[in-house]
Amino acid sequence: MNKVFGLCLSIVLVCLAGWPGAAEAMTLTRIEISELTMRSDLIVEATALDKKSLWIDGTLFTRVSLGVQRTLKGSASERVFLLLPGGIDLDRPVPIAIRWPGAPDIAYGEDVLLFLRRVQSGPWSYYSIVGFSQGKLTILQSSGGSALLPGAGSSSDAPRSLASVEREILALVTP
Amino acid sequence: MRRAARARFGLATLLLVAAASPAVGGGSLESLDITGRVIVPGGNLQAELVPIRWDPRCIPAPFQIDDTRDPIPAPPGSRRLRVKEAIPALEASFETWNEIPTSFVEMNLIGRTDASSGSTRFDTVHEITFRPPPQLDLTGLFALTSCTTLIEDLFLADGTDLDLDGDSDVASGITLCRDIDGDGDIELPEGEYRAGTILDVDIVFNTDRRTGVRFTVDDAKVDADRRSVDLQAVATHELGHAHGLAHSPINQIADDDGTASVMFPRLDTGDPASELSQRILAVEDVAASSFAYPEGTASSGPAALALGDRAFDDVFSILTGEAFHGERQLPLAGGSVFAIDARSGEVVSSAVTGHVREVILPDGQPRVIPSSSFTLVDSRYELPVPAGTSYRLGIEAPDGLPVSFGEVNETTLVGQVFNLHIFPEELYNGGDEGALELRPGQSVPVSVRRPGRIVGDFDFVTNVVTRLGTPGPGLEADVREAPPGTFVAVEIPPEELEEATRGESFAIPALLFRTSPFLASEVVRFRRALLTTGRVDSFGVARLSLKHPLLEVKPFLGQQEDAAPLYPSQPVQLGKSVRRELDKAFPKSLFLVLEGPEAWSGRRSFVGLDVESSGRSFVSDDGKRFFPLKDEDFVFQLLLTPVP
Repeated sequence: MNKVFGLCLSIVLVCLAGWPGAAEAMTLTRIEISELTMRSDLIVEATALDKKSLWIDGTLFTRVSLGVQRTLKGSASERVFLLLPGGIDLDRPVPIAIRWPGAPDIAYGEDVLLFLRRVQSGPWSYYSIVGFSQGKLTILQSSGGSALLPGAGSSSDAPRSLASVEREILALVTP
Repeated sequence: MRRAARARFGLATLLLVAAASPAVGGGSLESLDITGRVIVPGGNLQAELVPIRWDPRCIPAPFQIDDTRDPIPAPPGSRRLRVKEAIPALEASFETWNEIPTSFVEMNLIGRTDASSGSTRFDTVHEITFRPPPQLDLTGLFALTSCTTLIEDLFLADGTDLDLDGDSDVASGITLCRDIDGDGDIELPEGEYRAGTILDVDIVFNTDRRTGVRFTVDDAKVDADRRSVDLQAVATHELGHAHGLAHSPINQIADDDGTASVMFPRLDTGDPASELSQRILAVEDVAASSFAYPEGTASSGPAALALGDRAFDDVFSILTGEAFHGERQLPLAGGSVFAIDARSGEVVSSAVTGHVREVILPDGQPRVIPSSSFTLVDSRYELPVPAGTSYRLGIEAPDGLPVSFGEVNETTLVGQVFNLHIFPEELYNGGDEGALELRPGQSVPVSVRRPGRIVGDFDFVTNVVTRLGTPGPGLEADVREAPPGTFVAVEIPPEELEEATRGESFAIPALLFRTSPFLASEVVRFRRALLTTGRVDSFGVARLSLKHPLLEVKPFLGQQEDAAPLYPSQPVQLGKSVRRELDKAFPKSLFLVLEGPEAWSGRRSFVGLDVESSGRSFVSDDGKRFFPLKDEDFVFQLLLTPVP
């Protein structure tokens, strides 16, 4: 049956990641779990505990303190600090906001699966989300178990189970 | 005209509209507005969402190119572009927006600067740089734009230092933004400014050593190489953001035109035709810019008519309405309303529905309160459309097909908090609008004969449906080509249908097929789409009744990266036919089927795949024996609704 399927049907399976005609992003490109995993220094399931606006080199970021529940790649302490582009600053004579179209955000209490890359900035070290916002996936709790809500830029309209994504990541990072 | 024109609008009406409902209208980037510093229960600060805009006093907006990386970095082995080669392409992008006769926005490239100390710093210098910020991972990005805005209506007095660099950014004695002290940054005239006013915009092209791409400027260099991209196309998109436009969901302008709006967030670098088309504004882009900066709405300044201009209200009218989420029973914030020209079939405008608000916590961070009565202020929309024709209106969810809620603006993000982005695409159907519509594909044309009118109320209620079939795609979506003569199918077993309907009568308002073209500029076309019956034998091979289907449409036009709907002409009758099948002693399964295109036309059609399998997807090369897919599912769905 497989031979018939493979030879006679001539139907070609093409992964978007390797497909020459795949839609690229002006601000975001679709990145598969395998590439997100490969490009990440750290992959964690975490919750935003604290957020703070932070100026670095004249640019406003939001520093998110993450409480780490599980580490799938790399090694992390209980708390990890993440930089998100943009934010608001009320503590200046003229309050301002900086917005980046398509930038990621993490709400307080939001459970997330994050693909992170370490970035250095001055005396501190922070993490940045891989692929701008695609390396952030919201974990939804439901009666059927935990599911992942796709991030921006993902071609998707339905959640995928957290367990299956965890399995995929662990298979990729396990030697 | 079915709906009476409500009012003729001019400057006064436009200003009233803007004051009453600042967040609605054609796809705007949004900022917070804490004007009045209202404290809400819990001690938090109330924050409205307002569109990001240039103040007319700061138009034309002057940009400077950072020439400290010349030649411009490129991946190893590829030719590096010189800054002097990039400048004409960038100037062409500026002109593309400046030449809109009905929009008074104007942005210009006026010179060179040194951004080596920080390419995206808030310094009231509008920079174009090839120096990505090191704090961000830009994998997959061509470029990005940062917008610094006011978040409060304020009087900016002479001497105010906005960016805290020790130098005044506000001056009395001037009426237009300009560099009066010659230090390279812009001084604003003393006066009142609105929340959402742009203070600084920086555009960064991704030339990062690890993740960057090669930018090209010649037509001949626009190729199918995925690692190279046309600079002018990308710059035109980013300059849309630079004057406050959000991403558009329009990736297919018409059934026979696969090109996208410039503000669609993705560009097919493997398709030279797509790259070149993204240098040119679609009507939707023109409408969005003109709505935000309506020409002819002032007697002086940039909004006053000049040679070559046309007044916005001599060309456009505005369609208005509200959107209600039928399943969630909430105002629909973040839906995407669009207008299709009934004559040309072209999508000419889109808008995000709703007006929402957030709070700012004592720690200074914004938060969405999960109270619909507080957060979901209204669900209104305003859709600018060229007058002189009729339109069909539709509504779609930012559900990832083709754009997700995270790609548009803050209102679509907030809508997700209330789970509002799950509903099937539908057309406006006048008095038949409701949560249990039998004919979501039927439309009442909206005639817009004369310009300068606000016409409404075209109110949507999204449909409550039961979905059967394959739910995906999940996080990863593949596609499978359907060459001529091949069939792809998804089974819905009778027990599943029976469980969903529980012996009741039902209608079938739509079938959905996730489809895609090979190249972004092309359209998706299948020989036919079917709903039919069949059985799966003990070997797992299915045999389908292709000669006597319950429903057949030929040809079937798909959608690009989307769930393409097939609307049955007799949804109740079709439901009865299916019910008769279920009532048989040994009912057959239902199958949703697509047959590949009639012949090779150079255009290749693809079907969306979910990478998780339910075992219900089949393929056939002769239409006689359908073999199961082992590891994936096609993404086909049958929608059911009870018969009222």
